[in-house]
Amino acid sequence: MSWGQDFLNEHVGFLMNKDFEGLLAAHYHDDAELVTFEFVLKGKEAIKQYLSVEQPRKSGKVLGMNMDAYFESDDCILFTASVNSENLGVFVARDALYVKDGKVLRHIALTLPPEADRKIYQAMSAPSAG
Amino acid sequence: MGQFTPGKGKEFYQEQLGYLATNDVAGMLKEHYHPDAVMVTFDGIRRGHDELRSYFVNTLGSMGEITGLSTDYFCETEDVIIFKAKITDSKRGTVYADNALYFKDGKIYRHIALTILPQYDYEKLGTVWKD
Repeated sequence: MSWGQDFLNEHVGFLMNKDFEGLLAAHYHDDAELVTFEFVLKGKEAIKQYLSVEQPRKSGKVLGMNMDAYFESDDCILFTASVNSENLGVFVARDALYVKDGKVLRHIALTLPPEADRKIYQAMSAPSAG
Repeated sequence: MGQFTPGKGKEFYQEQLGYLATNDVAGMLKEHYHPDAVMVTFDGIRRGHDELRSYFVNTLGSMGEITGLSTDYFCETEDVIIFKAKITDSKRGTVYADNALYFKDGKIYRHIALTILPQYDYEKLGTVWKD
């Protein structure tokens, strides 16, 4: 298994075990940032607060997850995953991690709310007018 | 403008689109990309200006006439730009581009694209996740 897959599996393990303290200590720089279309979080504490409190409140229990696409370079990890959650239903997580010295410096999530995603998928699967 | 300046991300992005629209790959690399820039997508890695030049020349060459371009989502920080754009051209149809740019010294240091393109066999490329 590659360094990125090991890293990601460990990352998911921390999340599944709700070990947010461990996740942030082992995987994120002190000045890590989480950048999304909805908000930007700066620093470990803000990211921990989001992952441990705000995200579970928003999405509810995760009912299932399927990793769809994955790629890595020397210092970047990219993946898309289909996530089924209690409150949001199915949505596609599109994440990129820029990893420096073994820890995430920038966590970038291009994930959209499920409704916005559905519109894009409907448009993608619609027959071309041309 | 050339270099990325925090708070001026949209200007930088529009300048990037301008370089692409005019096929000015050399100008774009010189002004916007760090000498050690790396682009990572689900279909490969391009390291440095020479590999990036080949990528952009080939990609622009594979596209037909652009008939539609819209940027639907955009966000910037002091060193990151993320955007979601819809590009329609006469050869590839409509592509939804999911991109993130991480800057160092005012230039793109990591260009990450989470775009899934219809013409690629990601299974063959080894991109599909295997447990």
